[in-house]
Amino acid sequence: MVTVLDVQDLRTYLPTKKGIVKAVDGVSFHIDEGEIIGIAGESGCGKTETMLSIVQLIQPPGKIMSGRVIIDDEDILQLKANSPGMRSVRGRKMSFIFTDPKTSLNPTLAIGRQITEVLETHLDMDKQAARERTVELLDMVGVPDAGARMDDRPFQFSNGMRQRVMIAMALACNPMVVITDEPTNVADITTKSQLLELMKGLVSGLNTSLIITTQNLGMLTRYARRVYVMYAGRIVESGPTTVVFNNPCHPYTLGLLRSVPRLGVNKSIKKLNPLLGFTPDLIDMPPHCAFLPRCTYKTERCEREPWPDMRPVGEDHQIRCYVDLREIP
Amino acid sequence: MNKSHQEILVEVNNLKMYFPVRRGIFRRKVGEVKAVDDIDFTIMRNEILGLVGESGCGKTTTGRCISRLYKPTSGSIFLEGTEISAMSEKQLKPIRRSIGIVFQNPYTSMPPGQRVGNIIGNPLITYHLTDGTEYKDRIAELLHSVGLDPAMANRTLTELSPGQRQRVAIARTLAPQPSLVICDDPVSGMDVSVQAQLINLLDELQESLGLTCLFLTRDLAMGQYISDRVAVMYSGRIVELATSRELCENPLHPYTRALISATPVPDPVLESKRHYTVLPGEAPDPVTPPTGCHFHPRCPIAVGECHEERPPLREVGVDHYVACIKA
Repeated sequence: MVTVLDVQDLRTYLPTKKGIVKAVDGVSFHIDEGEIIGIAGESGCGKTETMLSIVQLIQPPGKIMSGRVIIDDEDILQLKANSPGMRSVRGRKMSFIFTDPKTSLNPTLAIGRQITEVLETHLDMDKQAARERTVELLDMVGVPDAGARMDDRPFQFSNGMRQRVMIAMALACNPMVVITDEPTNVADITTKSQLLELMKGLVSGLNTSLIITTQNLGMLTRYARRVYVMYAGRIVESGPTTVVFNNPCHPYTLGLLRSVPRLGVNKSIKKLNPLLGFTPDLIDMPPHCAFLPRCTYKTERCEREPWPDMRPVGEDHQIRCYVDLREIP
Repeated sequence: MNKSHQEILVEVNNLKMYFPVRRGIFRRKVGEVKAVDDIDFTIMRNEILGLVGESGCGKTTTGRCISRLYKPTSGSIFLEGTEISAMSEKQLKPIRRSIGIVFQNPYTSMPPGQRVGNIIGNPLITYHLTDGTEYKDRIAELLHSVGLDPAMANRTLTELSPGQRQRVAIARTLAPQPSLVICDDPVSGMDVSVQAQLINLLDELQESLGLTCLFLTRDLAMGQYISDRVAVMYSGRIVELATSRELCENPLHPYTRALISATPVPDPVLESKRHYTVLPGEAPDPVTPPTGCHFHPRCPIAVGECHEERPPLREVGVDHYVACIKA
């Protein structure tokens, strides 16, 4: 397998009046060609900030402090955020699919124009070629009667169709990596499934890699080959989805899994056993594990020693914890 | 659960809620949004009834009709034997405190600058439920019942997290001891651990206070977990109604099946055995819904008759109703 994107020790800090928020604090992960990976974690865990840092879309005063983001043998963090080089990375090598269909398209432009613009800018296509390619793209994502609908504006499309348009836009330049950042409150389950199924097909057809960030663990089980679980700006567990969700070794992963109701399990059969407390304030974090206050498996060592590094517990399976849940009866 | 041993708290018959669509300078009525299109169901005392459907299916409208925030177009709603669907505002006044609502978004459903104690205490004062001496104790008791520290009464809402705010909203709803609580997707958009905490709270309240609840949600997994019975809604109509267990084990309506198939389970072993089929298309426009069964254009097993006549919600088993001629 060829690694297309390799993120190493990424740190993004956001200075605020109260102190520095370490939104991303030493995140490393990689994705192979044609692979789908998932980044799981609750709001505030830094998953969105990580994705925005990769393409340098962090708004000041937020700042990327250190790290390497290697795509195509090039460390793109060396490029300036507004440089032509970085701009060609966005869209051409990497692209985003935002899943809020109401706000992510320009309401005043015909949808065809929003896609041809991408093609003309990044691939230097002329108008005619861009139009033809756009029809192809819209066809590919299943917008019916694409040639005629190109000149319609977003309000003339349903939410599902708008999302298809956004997928077409993201795939316009055949990027190496596509990132979908999913807000929790959007899209119905049948639409969401339609879209993920579509993306899965396209990704394997085009040999593009896909990163899904979500807190819907079910979706990751269905689509992601590998998964990274994030907490308080760091990755706490990583590994193949089947291994991690079958045998979670980090207490946070276990807590997340126990918080999700499963189909066919009613409260009369088995109660949910959710994580207590809430996600920590990322300002002035203690040196020890940030999950400690919510952890039911903590030992004395956890309080005494700093947050450990990732350590392997199985093939391609790593955790950031002194305790391994498999060893606890 | 056998119906005959239980007391019916709410009975809804032929409920319809149509909103007019007006156009032109004379605001002439050019059509109707059939948000709720002739539905029947009952809620037993001390039961949580889940109403599951995707956005736009009419579940919120149903909730608002029952709480009489809307006056339904037609149909009847019996609350503890009293017909409330046609009551005037004045007649409704003594009824209002019997129905509580927990809204979806705790950021917009309560004034942010107010103190928690005031928010919870307001209904107590409005309905003259307390004299001065018990007031503070009652607030402390309510806060305690939703799992918050009674000292929180002095905090303002802006200091609280989404989960805590929703607990305050629940406490406020419980303050006048309503006989029915309508929860309008109270956990959507929250972190999964917070969702689970709130759902567990609701479960505890059902047991400790004998709460009766209509739980509206678009998350089938959540709906079937917390509810005793579940009604599945599609395009303004109830398509299937059964006990939670029966609905998951023996779904009969093709839409219910599609929802179940589209809802993934975070268990790799189970998930790999499940078969997922994509439901094509999108929910219909409520102004111009399809003829006959609203689901027929997307239905994998539709036949000619489905285009013509609306299938009635018929009983197919113990406490299991389905609106499909092929089921």
